[in-house]
Amino acid sequence: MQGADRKAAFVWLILVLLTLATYAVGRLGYGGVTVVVMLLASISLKGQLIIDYFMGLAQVRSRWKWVVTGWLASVVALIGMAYWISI
Amino acid sequence: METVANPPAATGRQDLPGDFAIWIFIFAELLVFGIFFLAYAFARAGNVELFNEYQQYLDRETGAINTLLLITSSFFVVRAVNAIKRNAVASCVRWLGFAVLSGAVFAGLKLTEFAARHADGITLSTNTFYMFYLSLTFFHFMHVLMGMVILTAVAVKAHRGDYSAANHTGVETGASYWHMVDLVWIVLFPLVYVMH
Repeated sequence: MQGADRKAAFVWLILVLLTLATYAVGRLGYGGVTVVVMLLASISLKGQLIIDYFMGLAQVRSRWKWVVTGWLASVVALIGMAYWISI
Repeated sequence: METVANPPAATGRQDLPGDFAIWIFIFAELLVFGIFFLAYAFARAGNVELFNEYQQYLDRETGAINTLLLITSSFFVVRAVNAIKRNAVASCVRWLGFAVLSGAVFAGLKLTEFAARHADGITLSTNTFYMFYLSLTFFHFMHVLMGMVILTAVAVKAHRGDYSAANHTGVETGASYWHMVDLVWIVLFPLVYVMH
């Protein structure tokens, strides 16, 4: 396996572990502020890994890449706000 | 006389991977999905009990398996792009085939999930939660199908020898679209199936 493939495999493994953790939270029925914050942090991390290493935008110098990162940050922040006002 | 040191060589690439036109499409898709997600989250804020109650009936196992399938298919697509950059055409076609196969399993599981909801008599008008669940997941499902068509077309062109290490923009274009489909599901699964 080449270096780039090895890096992608490592990112894939992290994504799988975070997905299994998300599933476990749902299976056990956990909820509340702490869990929502952890899930939003998990979405941010998984999303940024996909953006940086699967889409390959970590290596891109074009400012357009910030549209995707900005989209993820905005969506996560506003979802957090919507959950916050429902408490 | 002063000498100016050469700046360090810039790393990486200047442009987005693939054809820029696909990125305009991706930005538009992300905007639409983003609005959809926020509509769900803010609608839930006004109907917390209803959303929490009906979320329990969703098939989280299938949702989690589908997440793993999309993540894995995205990894396969990365392998395909890396392969074509090495001029390994056969390897590129093989990884794209694995990605399309993973997408097909995702689509099959999603259809099973939709069929189960349909058998339960659940429709868009059952309640607000199901309206969001069905429309969001179906909208995403259509993007998975579109992504499979794009990846298949890229694989066929790669097989015909249309791509190489020097010319692989088409592979990167299809890959970028597929990663967008994955990225959107990464938000959708926890939001609709888990978070309460």
